[in-house]
Amino acid sequence: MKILLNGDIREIVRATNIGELIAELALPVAITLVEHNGLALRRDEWPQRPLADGDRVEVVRIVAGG
Amino acid sequence: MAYKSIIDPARLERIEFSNDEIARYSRHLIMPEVTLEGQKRLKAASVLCIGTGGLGSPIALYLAAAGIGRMGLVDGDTVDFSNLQRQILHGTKDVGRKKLNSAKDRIREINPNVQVDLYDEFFTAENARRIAEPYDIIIDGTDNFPTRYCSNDVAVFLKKPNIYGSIFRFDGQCTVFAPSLGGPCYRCMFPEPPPPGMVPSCAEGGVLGVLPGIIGVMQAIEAVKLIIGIGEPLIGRMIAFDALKMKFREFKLRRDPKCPVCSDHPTITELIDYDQFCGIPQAKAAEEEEAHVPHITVQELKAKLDGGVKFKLIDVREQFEWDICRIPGAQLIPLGQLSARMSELDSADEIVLQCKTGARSARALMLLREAGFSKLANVEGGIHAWADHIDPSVPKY
Repeated sequence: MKILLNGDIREIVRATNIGELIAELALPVAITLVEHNGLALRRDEWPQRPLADGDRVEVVRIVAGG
Repeated sequence: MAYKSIIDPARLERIEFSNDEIARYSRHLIMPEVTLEGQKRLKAASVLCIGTGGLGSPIALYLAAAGIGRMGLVDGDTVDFSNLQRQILHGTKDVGRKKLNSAKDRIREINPNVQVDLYDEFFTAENARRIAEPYDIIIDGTDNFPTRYCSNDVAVFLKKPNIYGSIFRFDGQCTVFAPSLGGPCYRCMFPEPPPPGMVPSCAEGGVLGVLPGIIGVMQAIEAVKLIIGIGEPLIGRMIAFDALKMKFREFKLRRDPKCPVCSDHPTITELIDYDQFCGIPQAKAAEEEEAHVPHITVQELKAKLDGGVKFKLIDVREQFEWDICRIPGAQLIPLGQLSARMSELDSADEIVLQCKTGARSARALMLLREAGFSKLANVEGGIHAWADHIDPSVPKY
C-alpha cells in the first residue's frame, strides 16, 4: 500500500491502521502528532483509524528547545 | 475567521503618541489593517516573554520595535559564549552578565517607549501566577518541558493566549494555544510529558543559530495579530518548519474534550510541581547513580599519562566532537558503537573512560561493567574539566 507521508509517497508494508503505522515508522509515541486525511488525531484514536491506499498522513515529532 | 482584538477598547482612551512616535510607527499607521487604532492597541498591550534566549531574542526585539507598550521578561540565566550564535538580544560584551540586563539595554536602544519589567528568576509553579497575571499574552520561548507545562497551565487558568514556539537542530514549531478563544492547549496534544531524555535539548543535540529567528518572529507576528485583531490567528493549527528542506507544513490540532486542564471538567485546576511531573528528580537520581561510578579527576589522569602507567584511555564521544578536540593518548570509541566494539578491549587492562562532561562515559562504564570488565574509571568532568584544569588551549564546545 502506498500512502502520502508528509507529502512524499511511502510504501507501507504491514501497518493497517495509524497506530501500527507509527510503530512501523518507529516514531516515539509520546512525542508524535498525527494528522490523517486532514483530521488531527488524538493518541487514543490511532488504533481505530484504518489505513487505506492513497491516504494522506502528516506526522510531526515535537521538539522543545528554545 | 474574523476576530476581535484581545485588547478592551476602554484601554485605548488614554493612549497618546508623540510626534516622534507617529514618525516611528508610520509604516504601520498607513496600513488600513493597522492605522492609529491598531498602533494604540499595541501600545496598550502587555506581553510576557518567558525566556530571553534563542526564541525570546527575536520576539522581544521585534515586539519592542513594533511598539508594544509593556513587556515582561522572565529569565534567571547569565549570558554564556555558547548563547551568542543565536541569542541576538545579547552581545559579546554581555558574556557573564544577567541576560535580563543585556536584554533591557538592547530593548531600550531599539525603543525607549517600551516599559520593560524584569523577572530575574525561572518560571515555576511558585511564581508563575504572580508573574503572568498582569499581562495580556504569554509567549513561551523556554527550552524545557517543566516550564512549558507550567506556562501552558497558567495561561489556561488565567484565560490568556499562550504563543508557543520550539526549536531543535533544523526544525521549528509554532502555534497559539488559546482555549479561551476556542483552541486547544498544549496538554490536549501532550497530556503527559515524554520520559526525560527522549527529547534532547539544544545543548545536547545542537540548533541552527538562525532557526529561532524564523520561529520567534512567527510568535511575534501572532502576538501582533492577536493584539491588533487582524488576520487568522494560528489557533488549532501548528506550523512545522524544516530549515533543511525549507518547507513549512501546517498541521491541524484539536481540543481534547477530556483535557486535564482546559476541558469542561478539568482534573487539574492548580499549578503543580512541574519538575516532579516531568520526572526531573527521578532523572537526577539516575544521574547521581552514574556519578557514583568509580572516577578519577583530570589531575589524576594527567599524572597517570605522565607517569607512564599502562592503561587505556577511551573517548566515547562522537567523531565530530573528537575532531574539535581530544586528550593526547585517547582512543575514540563512540558510546553508540561500544557494545559492538568491546572485542577491541581487554578486560585485563585498566580502562579509563572519558567524554565531554562525564555523563556519557559514566554510561559507558556501566555498560562495560555489565559485560564483565572490572578495572574501570570515569574521568570526572570529561574533556571540559581537562580544558579548565590541565590544558587551557583545548577548546570547550
